Amino acid sequence: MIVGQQKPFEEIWGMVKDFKKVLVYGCNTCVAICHAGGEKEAEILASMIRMKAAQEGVNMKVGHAAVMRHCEPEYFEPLMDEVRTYDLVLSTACGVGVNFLAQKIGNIPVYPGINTTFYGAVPKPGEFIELCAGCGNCILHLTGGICPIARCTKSLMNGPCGGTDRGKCEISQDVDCGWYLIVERMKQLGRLEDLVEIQPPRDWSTSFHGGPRRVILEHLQDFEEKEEKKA
Amino acid sequence: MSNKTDNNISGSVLIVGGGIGGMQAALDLADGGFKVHMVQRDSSIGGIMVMLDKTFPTGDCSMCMISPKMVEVGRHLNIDIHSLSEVVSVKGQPGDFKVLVKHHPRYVDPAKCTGCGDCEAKCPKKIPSEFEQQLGPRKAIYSLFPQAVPNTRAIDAKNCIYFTKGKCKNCEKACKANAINYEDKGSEVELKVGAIILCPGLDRYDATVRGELGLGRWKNVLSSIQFERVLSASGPFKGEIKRPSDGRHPTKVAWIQCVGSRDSHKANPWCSSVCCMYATKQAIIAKEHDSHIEPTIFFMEMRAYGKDFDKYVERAKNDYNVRYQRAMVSIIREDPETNDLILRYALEDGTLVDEIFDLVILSIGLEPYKDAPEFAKIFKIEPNQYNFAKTSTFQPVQTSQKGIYVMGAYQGPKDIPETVMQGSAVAGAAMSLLSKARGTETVIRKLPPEIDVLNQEPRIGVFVCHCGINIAATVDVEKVVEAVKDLPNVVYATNTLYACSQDSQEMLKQLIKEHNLNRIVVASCTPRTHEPLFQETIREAGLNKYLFDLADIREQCSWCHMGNREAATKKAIKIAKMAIAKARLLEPLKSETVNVTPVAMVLGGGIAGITSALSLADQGYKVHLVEKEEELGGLIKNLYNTLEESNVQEFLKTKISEVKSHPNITVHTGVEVKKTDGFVGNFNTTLTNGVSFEHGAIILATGGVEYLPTEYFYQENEGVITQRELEKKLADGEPVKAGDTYIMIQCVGSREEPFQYCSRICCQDAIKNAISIKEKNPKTNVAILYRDIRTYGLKEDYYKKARDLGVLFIRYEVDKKPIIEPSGNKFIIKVWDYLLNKEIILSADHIVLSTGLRPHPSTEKVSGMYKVTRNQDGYFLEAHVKLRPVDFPSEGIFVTGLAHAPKNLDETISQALAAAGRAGVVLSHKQLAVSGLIAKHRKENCMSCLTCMRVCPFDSPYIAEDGRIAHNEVKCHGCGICAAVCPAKAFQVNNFRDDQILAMIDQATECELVVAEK
Repeated sequence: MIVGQQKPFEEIWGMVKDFKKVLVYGCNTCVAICHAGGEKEAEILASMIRMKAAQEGVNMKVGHAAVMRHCEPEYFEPLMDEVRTYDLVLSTACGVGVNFLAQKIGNIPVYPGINTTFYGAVPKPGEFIELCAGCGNCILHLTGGICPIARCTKSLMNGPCGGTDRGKCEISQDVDCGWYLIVERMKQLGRLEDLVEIQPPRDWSTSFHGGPRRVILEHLQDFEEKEEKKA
Repeated sequence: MSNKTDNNISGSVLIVGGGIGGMQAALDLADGGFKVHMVQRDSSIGGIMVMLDKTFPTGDCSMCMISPKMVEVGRHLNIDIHSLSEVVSVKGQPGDFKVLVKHHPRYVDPAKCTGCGDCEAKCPKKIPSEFEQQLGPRKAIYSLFPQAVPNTRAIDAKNCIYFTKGKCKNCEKACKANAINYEDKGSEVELKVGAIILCPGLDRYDATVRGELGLGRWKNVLSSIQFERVLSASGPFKGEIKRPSDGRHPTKVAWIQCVGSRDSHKANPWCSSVCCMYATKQAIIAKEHDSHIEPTIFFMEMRAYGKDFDKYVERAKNDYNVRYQRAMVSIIREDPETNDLILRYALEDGTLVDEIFDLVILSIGLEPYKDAPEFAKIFKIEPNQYNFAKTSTFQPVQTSQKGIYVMGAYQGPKDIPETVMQGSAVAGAAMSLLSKARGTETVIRKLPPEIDVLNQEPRIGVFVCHCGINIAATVDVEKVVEAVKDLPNVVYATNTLYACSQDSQEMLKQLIKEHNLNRIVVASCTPRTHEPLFQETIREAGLNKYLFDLADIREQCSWCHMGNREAATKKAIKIAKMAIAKARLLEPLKSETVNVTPVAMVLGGGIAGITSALSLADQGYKVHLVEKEEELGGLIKNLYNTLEESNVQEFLKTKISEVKSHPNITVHTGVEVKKTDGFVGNFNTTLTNGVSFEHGAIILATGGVEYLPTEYFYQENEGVITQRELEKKLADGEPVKAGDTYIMIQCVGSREEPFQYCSRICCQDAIKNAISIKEKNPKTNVAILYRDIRTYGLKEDYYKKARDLGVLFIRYEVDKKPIIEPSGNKFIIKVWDYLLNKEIILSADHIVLSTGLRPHPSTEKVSGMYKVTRNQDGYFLEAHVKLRPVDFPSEGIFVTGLAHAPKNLDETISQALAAAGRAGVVLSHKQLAVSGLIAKHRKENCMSCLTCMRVCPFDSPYIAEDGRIAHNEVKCHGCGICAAVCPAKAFQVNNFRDDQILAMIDQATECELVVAEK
């Protein structure tokens, strides 16, 4: 799931303070689960902005709304007429939602209310950890299910660097050394020897370094659209 | 409704004593289908616990914990409180006692008194308050403390001006309820009960006997119970720590331990068991109140023997800088100019020290009341040599009279959780004795059918209470009525002198009928005491009890804004309007019920499990006893005698055969639980052998194991054995040779990281074996190397006996442990002697290790299976360390024995009876009612993020078969955590719904704007 974190309120206030009618627009999937931008958080944020506006003597109307997912037009389109009555949409969806809504909305700015941070898991309530970097070329079968791209600070492919320190990474004692975890896991699986094989330099073109990515599933694409393309 | 059984067994129980233990027993019994009479000598129940400021280790306010329980006892339909009363005589036999109870005159009619306290305000006579320990005054018409139950004042005739001088009667003039009755002569009633429970508690040692310590002579010497009142926010100093002499804030504060305890010359020979921990608590709380305080505790031995006690003492040392000085203070002198106190004591090396302190607290011990011998005679029970009730290890709550049980400190000094435990234990024992008469004398309230108001427009009735002058003197009550009477949906509004009085309740019912009221708001006092009363009243008038809201304009308004009439009135109006706004949105709530399977499963066939199973079976329930070993018995299979008893194996054999032959018990040995589904009243368990059964309650008695030492050449050298192995040798009659030297080493595997806890049993094991060796052959040498000898309570006698027999006690500290070197058939032991301040060398033939206890390895698995938590050391964590010592937060599951914490055989048996008592209460109900105040889950809003499931303390949200979150309302307590954390607002707590809270906020802020505009 995508994990996000609400921006500092002062930054948000800086974005919205000059607008007259602001919609705080939440998304009820990933960012709701991480308590950053679902309907409830959108409602709380809207209320905070109203209070701040009252304190600062700024005349501003602030509303809130939320839909199931901002990344699919069918969810937000029914609300578009209403959304377009605002001067500013402060989206608490992830960056995908902000981009996508900005493409569709027309003449109204869409600003981000949260920082989209990573793809993560929820090991326990209130804790979110990054486990995948979405690099586009998965090698988890070679590393015992622990990703060296996401979990080694340097994304090394052939073992740890000199900064590994009793299982921790040199950048912080709070960060596990990804390669330490890989080695321990491979030991447990009885496959430690597999790590001896040298991994060649990696082709990063499948990752963001190859430019914006896109996945096409032809069998699910609109038939007419396909025909158009052929023509 | 009496359909008595043939042999005339009574379904009532008499409880003598209204402290926390008696209250627990009363609630368990009354909830389990028995009528309870509680006789209390004071004017209120509560006992000692109500006087305490806070309780350790949580620092919870003592009054806040006990007060809801007192209210529950006070309001219980099947508990009659006889306050200011005493038992005069007892006749009859178990199942059929006739008890004569004398009610001393109260001079206030409880039926009329509303507890408003107007009389007390007008009483001119001030006397030192017993409750405040003479540090503050009370009046001659008084209640012991503001939260007293019953909430009825009493006149202290000895000090009343009218009774002593024949005039005054101010209270009569002040009482608007006409409750004063100077002609009250008291009365006597005869009660017929099936069982009697004695819990009169203990008195405190009178430390003025120890003149050298200066209590009552030096102003800045206080007793520990006085200091509790000093610490209390509602006490004489309002929680500010001040010296009585000059009101100055003290810096250096000393506690002196064992005042009145462990002293057979001027006081009592026993250890009072609780003082080490309460002194530590007081030192911590004092430091929290005032960080400048430097606490010092003068002690002989730190007896932190209970669950997590050592960790608390370590916290006191490390986080609060509490200084623990091992010394007895020989004299306290006062500097006459400053009133400072000069304490003289000797350091361990003999150096005499005079140290100056600002304030001194004497940790006074506990002792039976002066009239204990007569008390025992009334009930014809046998006292022990110190006038405690005599009991045995195997029957710790049974007196010498069948049908008469004892619990709490009267059985031996003990702390709150152990008292509460025994409260449930005696309830369980009485329920076994009287199981045939269950439900024969209890009352069930008959109620009219509920009026359907669901589709009716709200018609709100508002009642604003004067509370005598409590509210009316500060708030303009008529103005409040005026302000709310024309609000939308308000059909009727009035003011009343006492909304809670009997006639007002009748009026309320009448007005509901007359005006078709369907929502009621009472603006009066705290919902804590009175909400249930009003709810019952409107229910009697046919309204669902949740169609009620209480606006607190006393505690939250008139009391805190005295003398500010205008502002207070404005605020009272606002509070009332908020309640009305909420009342508009109130809906009737249904209380669901679930059926209960009257069967228990006891997990673990040690003595704890065996005792619980037998008690439940005797109470009339079927029991499945599951033990994973092939044989029952658990750890005590290796126990031959205790300090007090010598025939443990015989006892175990009898108990095992009782279990096997009991028609209500099915024993499953050599199997484990594969899985358990369900919830309280409706569990379903499958065992590893495929057997499955339904049951309504679970008792976890999974026990513990003994630590197998790796220290001191154990298993390398056969001269090194454990206490248990020595015990077996002694029991098997192995000869004890003259001239042999036994050295015992305490705390092996205990009280050290990572096992920073006391195993509780090892000091007694060592002393027991040492005595046994000495008795077999006095020409032996026995030395015990110890850190603190923890022979708490009446076990202190055996410590003395061992010393008298010539057993040597040599103290060591954890950073200077004894060193052992094998030397031929013998051992050389080097140990530091703190008195000589040098190393001494001993030679020994036998090394005996006092090894600690560990939770059973299966505890972890069981904890996961039943979702019950464990403490840092792996023992199960009870729902509340003080007041719910055998419960888990999940209902229907109970804990007992070593699975809970290390403890002795008698304590295990007490706790096992307690678990059986608590489980018996659950199983006694044909159906369990689920409160209406629960969280409602709206599946359509839920995105199954699992946050609720993870944070719920009661395990009520769960992942359903469709892979999404569902909610088991039976388990829900309505705490609202789920509603607070749910990012989708899928949870709403009944009666605290968002729309209701928002309506209240809108109402409040609307008023605010009006004020701002002015």
